[in-house]
Amino acid sequence: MLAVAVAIGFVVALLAPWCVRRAGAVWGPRLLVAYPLSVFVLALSRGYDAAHVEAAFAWVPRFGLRWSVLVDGWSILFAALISGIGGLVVLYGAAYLRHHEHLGRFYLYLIGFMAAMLGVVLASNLLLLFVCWELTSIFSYLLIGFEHEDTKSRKSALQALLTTGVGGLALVVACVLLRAEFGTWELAEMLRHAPEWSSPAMELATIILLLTAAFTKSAQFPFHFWLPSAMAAPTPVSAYLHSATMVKAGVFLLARFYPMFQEHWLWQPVLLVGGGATMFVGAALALSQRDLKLLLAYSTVSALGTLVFLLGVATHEAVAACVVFLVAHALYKGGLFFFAGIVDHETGTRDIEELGGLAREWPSLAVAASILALSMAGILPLFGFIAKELAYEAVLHAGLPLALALLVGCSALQVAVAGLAVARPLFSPPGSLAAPHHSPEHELTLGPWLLAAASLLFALWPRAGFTHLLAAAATGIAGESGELKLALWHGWTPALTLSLVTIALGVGAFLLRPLWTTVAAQGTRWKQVGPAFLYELAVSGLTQLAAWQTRKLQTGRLRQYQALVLTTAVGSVLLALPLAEGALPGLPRNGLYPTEAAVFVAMLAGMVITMVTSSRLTAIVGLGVTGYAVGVLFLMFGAPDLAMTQFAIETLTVILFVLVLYRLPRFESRSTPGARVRDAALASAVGASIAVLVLVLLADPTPSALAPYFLAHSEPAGHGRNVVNVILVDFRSLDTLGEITVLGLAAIGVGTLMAMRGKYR
Amino acid sequence: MQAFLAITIGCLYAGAFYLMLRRSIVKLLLGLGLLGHAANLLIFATSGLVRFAPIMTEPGAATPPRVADPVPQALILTAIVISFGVLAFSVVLIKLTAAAARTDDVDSLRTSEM
Repeated sequence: MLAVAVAIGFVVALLAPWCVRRAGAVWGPRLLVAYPLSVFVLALSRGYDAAHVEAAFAWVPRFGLRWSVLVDGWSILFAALISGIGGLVVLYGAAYLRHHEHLGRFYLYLIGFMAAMLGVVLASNLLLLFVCWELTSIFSYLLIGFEHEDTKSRKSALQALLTTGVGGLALVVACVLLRAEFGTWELAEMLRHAPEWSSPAMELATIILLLTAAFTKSAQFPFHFWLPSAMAAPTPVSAYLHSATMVKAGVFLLARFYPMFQEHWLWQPVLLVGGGATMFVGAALALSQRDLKLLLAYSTVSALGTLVFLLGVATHEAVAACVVFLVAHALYKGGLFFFAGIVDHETGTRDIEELGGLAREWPSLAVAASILALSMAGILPLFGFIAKELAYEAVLHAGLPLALALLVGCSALQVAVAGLAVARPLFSPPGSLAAPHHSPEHELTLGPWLLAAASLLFALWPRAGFTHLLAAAATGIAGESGELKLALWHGWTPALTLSLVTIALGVGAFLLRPLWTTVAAQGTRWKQVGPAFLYELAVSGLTQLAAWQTRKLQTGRLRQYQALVLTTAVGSVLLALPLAEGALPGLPRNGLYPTEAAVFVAMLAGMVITMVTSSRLTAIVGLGVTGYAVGVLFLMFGAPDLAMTQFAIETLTVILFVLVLYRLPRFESRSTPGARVRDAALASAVGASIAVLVLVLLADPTPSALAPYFLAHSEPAGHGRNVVNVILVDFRSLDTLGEITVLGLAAIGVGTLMAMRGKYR
Repeated sequence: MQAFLAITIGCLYAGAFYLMLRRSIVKLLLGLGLLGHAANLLIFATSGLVRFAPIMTEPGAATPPRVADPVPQALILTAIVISFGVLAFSVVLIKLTAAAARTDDVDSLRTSEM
């Protein structure tokens, strides 16, 4: 069922523009919500306690590509997030982009992305996972560049595509290596074995490739730069792809392979250091932003770092904390992006220095946004608090004091960022900006309200079913079940003390922000060596390299092209030569008759005459001698048809040459002796390669499989005893028809050119 | 015999390419003609080189007679005709090009516009 649901998503996406056109900008999206809603219900109605593969159908059986769906807590949790938040985004987008002329196209991309993302998290077949993974990159590209008239939009879209594209390439190679190791494309079977690898080098390569894929997709340091640039997308897209779902695909992938690799020496350190660095860089950069969306984008980078970091801690507790934090983050960050979109949509600015006093205008939205911000800050009694407590507990119990300090510091920065993103625009005194005239539409405020309510309710009354899903997700990742208790109050624990410290530090950071922005302004020159700069360098370098090699190779000089092709040919023969070792002794020897020797001599004599003479007529005679000698050779070796054709055609060729002879330019001596020697050397090398090839060919005793067939069927089927003839006019008569066509075309070409001749006389 | 044939084919290729690397456009044409012969011989070499035995089936014979492989011969028959077509077209094209560009130096013929 779920496999079909994913496939249906692509159909719905294709129908979306039509639906929006027919049903209108209001009802079209409302109809489209049916898809995410039904997927949401379907996903949660599956039994996900025991991991199992759902009924699949073959897609490209030859390559082992199947639509097989792996159902466990982890994939179902993700599917529920994607479809749940997706549904809200579909509604929100309708209000946000109501008057956009390409609303239908927007829904094509958005629903298409949703289906692809569902494919990524549900696929059990690695090829299907890869195809969907790439589709999410492509839809992300289309959505970031949705306002394609804008240069910045296009540039950001390309940046995101190239960065995640590198990861996609890494992923496909990793998939192939996994297939080679396990002999199956099915993820479910690989995870069931989780065995010793046959070669450590291959395991290491697979790990590095998977890490590259996950780090680029989830914007981990040093690939974090594409995510803030992706804020050029319309805000519904940022809320969906670039905070709640797609950027978590990397985390998803890392978690999927967690049981297979968590004990590898490289895995844990890379996740800890990479995740930790991302967590810190994101939070620190977030604090100095003025743009509301950039603020949230950098804090998303930080949160993604936290998720990877928690996977790196690699205890069952940390995995559970990772799952809970992922859900908490999806809820509050999705909601906060909705809020940022509303602010932008209604006031026309996202600059937090200009915004202020919005709480007075929009009291109910202010409540929702405040709840979301408090959840982000990890303050009682919200879901974000539970997530943060679990993370603290996990790192405490794992005994990593440095990591704990880092986590506390970054959480404190998140507190400050939450304050900046919400408290500033809502409660600070109104700035220069004129107050918005009307309150936002219900379709816009629905998303933040629902997500805020979820953040509150999940914390106050963590229902058994919900807790069970989260626990099942942790089980799905780690492969072993563990306990998960969600409670606001654990008693006075060290984690609670740390929470209080975090809040105090966060408030301090919030107050000291002016100082921080001054320091950050000093640090802008660091951008000169940042990853974004390196990206620019790489892209422009690639373009220059392409231009350079085009200049070098495509000179427009025919002789240079020929020389290049010939050199490559000789090189290939030299490379392949070792393969032919030992072939030559098998060469059949059936002597050389004097007449045959004479024919060979005539052939070569004709060639030499053609090459050395300075008279055009003599050159043509030489060519003719070679041609007739070839005909005689055909005659000697049982090919009278060939000989007749060769004689006839050679005669025609000589006549043709003689006819145009005196219109052809005379020979002049142009090349320098050095050039002659060089060309002669190259030509000789080619000749020698060909001679060796012919020798190897003749030494191969494998008989032709076709010859017996034609010999046996020529008379019964083709009613002719001359087998060559029968092949040409019967068995392969279409080839002969093609040959006649070519000749006809050549004749037309010659005729046309002759007609043009007057022009250039 | 086989070795001599291989060396002859190699020499023909070498000569053809040497001519095609000359700056005179007419030599390019001659080289093209020579290349056609060389390529036909190369295909012919694969047919088994059975002396004086035209590929004819005996009427009513159950087993095919011991003759050369007919497939390369059919290919060559096509190739001879096609290479003549190409050569005829090239002769006229090159003659016109030389007349239009007022040069027969391949190195000066670098633009696609006249």
